[in-house]
Amino acid sequence: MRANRFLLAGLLPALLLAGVASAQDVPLDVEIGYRFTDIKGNEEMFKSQLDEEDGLQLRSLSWGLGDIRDSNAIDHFRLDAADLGAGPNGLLRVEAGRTGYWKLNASWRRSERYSNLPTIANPFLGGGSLDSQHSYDRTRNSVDVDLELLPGKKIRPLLGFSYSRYSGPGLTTYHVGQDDFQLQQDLKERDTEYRVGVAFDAGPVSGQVVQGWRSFKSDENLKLLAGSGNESGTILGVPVSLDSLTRRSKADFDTPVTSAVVSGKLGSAVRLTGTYVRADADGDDTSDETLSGNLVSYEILRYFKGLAESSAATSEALSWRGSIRADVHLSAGFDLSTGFTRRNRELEGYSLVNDLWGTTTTFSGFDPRDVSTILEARTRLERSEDIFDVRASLKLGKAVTLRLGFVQNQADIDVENDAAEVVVPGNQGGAYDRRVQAMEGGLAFKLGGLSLGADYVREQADAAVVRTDFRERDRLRLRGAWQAAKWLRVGGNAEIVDTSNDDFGYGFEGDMNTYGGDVEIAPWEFLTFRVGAGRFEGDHSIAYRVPQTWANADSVYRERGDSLEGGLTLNLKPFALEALYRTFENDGSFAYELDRARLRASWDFTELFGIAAEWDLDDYAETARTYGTGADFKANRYGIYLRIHK
Amino acid sequence: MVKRFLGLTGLVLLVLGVTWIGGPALAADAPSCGDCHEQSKSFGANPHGRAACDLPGDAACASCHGDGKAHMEAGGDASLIKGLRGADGSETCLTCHDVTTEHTSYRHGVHGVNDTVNCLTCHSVHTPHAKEPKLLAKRQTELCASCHQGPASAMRSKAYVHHLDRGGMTCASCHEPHGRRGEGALKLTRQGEAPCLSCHTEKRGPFVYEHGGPTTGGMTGGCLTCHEPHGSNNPKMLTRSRVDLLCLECHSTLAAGALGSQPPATHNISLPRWRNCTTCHVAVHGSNRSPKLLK
Repeated sequence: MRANRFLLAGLLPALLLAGVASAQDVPLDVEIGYRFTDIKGNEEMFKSQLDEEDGLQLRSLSWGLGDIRDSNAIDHFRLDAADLGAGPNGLLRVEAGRTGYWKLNASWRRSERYSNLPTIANPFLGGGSLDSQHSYDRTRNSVDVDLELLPGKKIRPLLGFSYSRYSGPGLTTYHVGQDDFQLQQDLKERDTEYRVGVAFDAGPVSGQVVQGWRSFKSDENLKLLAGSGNESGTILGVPVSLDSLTRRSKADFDTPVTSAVVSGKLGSAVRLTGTYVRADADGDDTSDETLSGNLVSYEILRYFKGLAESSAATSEALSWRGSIRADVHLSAGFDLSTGFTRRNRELEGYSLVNDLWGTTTTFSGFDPRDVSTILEARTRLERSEDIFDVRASLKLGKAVTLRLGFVQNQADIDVENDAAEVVVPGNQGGAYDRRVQAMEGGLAFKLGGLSLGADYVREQADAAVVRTDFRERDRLRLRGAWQAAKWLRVGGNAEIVDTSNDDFGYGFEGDMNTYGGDVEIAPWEFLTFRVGAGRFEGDHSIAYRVPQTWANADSVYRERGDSLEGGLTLNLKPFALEALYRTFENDGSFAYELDRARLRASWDFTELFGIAAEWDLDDYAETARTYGTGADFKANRYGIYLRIHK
Repeated sequence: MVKRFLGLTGLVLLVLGVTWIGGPALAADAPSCGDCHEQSKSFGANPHGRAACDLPGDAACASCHGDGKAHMEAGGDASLIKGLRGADGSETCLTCHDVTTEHTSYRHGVHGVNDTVNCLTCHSVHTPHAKEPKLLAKRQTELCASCHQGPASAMRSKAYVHHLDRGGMTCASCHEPHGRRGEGALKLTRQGEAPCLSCHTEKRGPFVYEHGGPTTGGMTGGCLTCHEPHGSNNPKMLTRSRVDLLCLECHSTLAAGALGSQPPATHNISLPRWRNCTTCHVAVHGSNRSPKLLK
């Protein structure tokens, strides 16, 4: 993997340089170099948050041929790349085409995902252990290609392709036999989509129809990592353990997706737009599992020493959405937009699970035999939403724009009981309706260098579907900026969100307030200073029932985060410097401090070549020591890059 | 691995081929506007310049700035040429770019035309940022952060975030700057799902036993019921620091009529083993074989 990235990061600019040599005056900006890391403290936590690695890196690349006049095939080509090589994320993007003939947009993204956190699925946390039971080290590669033929013409064929591959090892847990065991996981998932369509432009009417075929395939293999589980004692007098486990699961889903949009003008003032999207997912999932050990089952009320399970599932989901919208230009500065959308999703699932419990005995130790059980379940869910909205904007004079709006979302959700409730007591099905009405208002003011903005939304719901749904929510956003002089800009913003459901049994209150402001001073064109401050306040509370006592209690979550930052940008060609320091301290439910610093200097010592150096610092400390003392880290990263630009 | 490398090498070789085919970049035929305006000489490399390459003489400039004859005759009097500024300037852009779909509208979107925010607030036709697409005037996150300081500051300050400006991750990876109001102007997937599923494709399902529902809005709140994409203090960008409480906020019997309030959780969460629900309920995003989301 590393070798591939090395070649990737090294060869690409080398070839590009060769290209440049062959074609003079081609704009190019490339930075390639090496990044070193120096991590002190918990490296797993650093990797889970940032995962920046040592290695060769193509920090950035922009290469464009914007005006190719002597080719009949192509008149522009642009290649951009960012952070290819040493992970965790990289991008390569291509834009090319010939005006009036073809236009290509293609991109490749690579994303490394690493997680080994002490806080997730770690029952040993109370003992100060930092070993996670859930972790992964995976890579996602995604490709998107869209080709438009005859751009700008009346009929334009469209072709597209997307591919995403997610794979790599991980650790997970499995609750079986009244204990939880750690498993090694190997996952490979591929998502592929082909698209073909046509866009048209027939005077006042335009639109496009695209048909896509998506395929998702998943292959997961699991095997036992450790035979001892989380339970250190015995279950019904038996020390539970697992000797072996293997499970292989495969999923295969196909989803044709149809989308259409037609937009037409009625006179000069009205534009009507209709859309329709339909996706019909249909898939199979099979799994085989075998295990052996000393185990206890409350489901069959027996001890058992082995289990062979096979399952087969099918699920189908039909989603469609249709909408009609009118955009009306009533007069100069007075616009109205109103629309109706219906969204619908029907899900039908079927699962058949065959279990053969080996060498079982009753809890009294009698009646030794194998036991076979079958679980057959059918699930069904339908969600339908009708959304109506009307919004108007009105310019009042030269300086003020007023916006008003109303939105109603009526959701109907039907969840049918399934046979699986034989083993899951309690009624999970039912019919749920929820109507949310929102009133919106907004004001924008601009006069000279002063701009102010305010947005207010009040939402009211007639019911909650799940317990964290609001009945009332108010959101206020305020923004202001003042360009006092060419060298001075002052900005500030506030967002205040108040969410609640006072109904009996909910007691839900949620406030989230965010405040921020910054000042930018540019005494000379080549020098800019910036200082900023922000505050995040969160107070959430909702009643819940403590499972072990059935007493009522409140789940309280609090956030008090303060950020401070300062930086400068110096651009004295051929020398440039960027410096930034940011500190964040959260005193809420999960108290920690995070200091970040960044320094970048570049010097273009010739017209073609230059050098850039970067330093990044992340200093993370969990001040409340909620999860022990070992989660802190201090990560220095140093990069040195060769700059090539023309 | 080898295939990927070969594929990329092939791509680069294609690029080189294009370079040779294309040969050196040539300056556009300089219209008379170019006598004074240097930028018009390189306008051929601009997407607008390419679109107007068939127009004769100054017509390319005139298509946005109007007839410049009086302006030239007056020796460059700025009042006699149409400058594109503010909302009025955007009207010129909209003569060609009035794109409208269910979710996007250049005129009625969240950044719909007004004097505070308009096309030229973010785009620069003549002096775009060299490393940004779509003729953006500055780096995209810098543009967004100039107004949306709250989420920008959260993404730069908090511990668990989608890292902006790394590997091409920008605000527009998830948000549609020309999106209509409502639903956070999200950049939905082609089938109309939340943008989370553009990358986290494995969460899409459909599952026999679904947990929430991944499409926009989900069962009610979708992904955002449990996750905070703009940066969180908590691992996995969760909205709560304690996993058990996050689950119990819905899965409690206090409001029996609510979906998910049954069956009640019965574990003793005072014991470490039961405090992280996802230790056992690993398939928390949905399962095809376990009603309890155990696998």
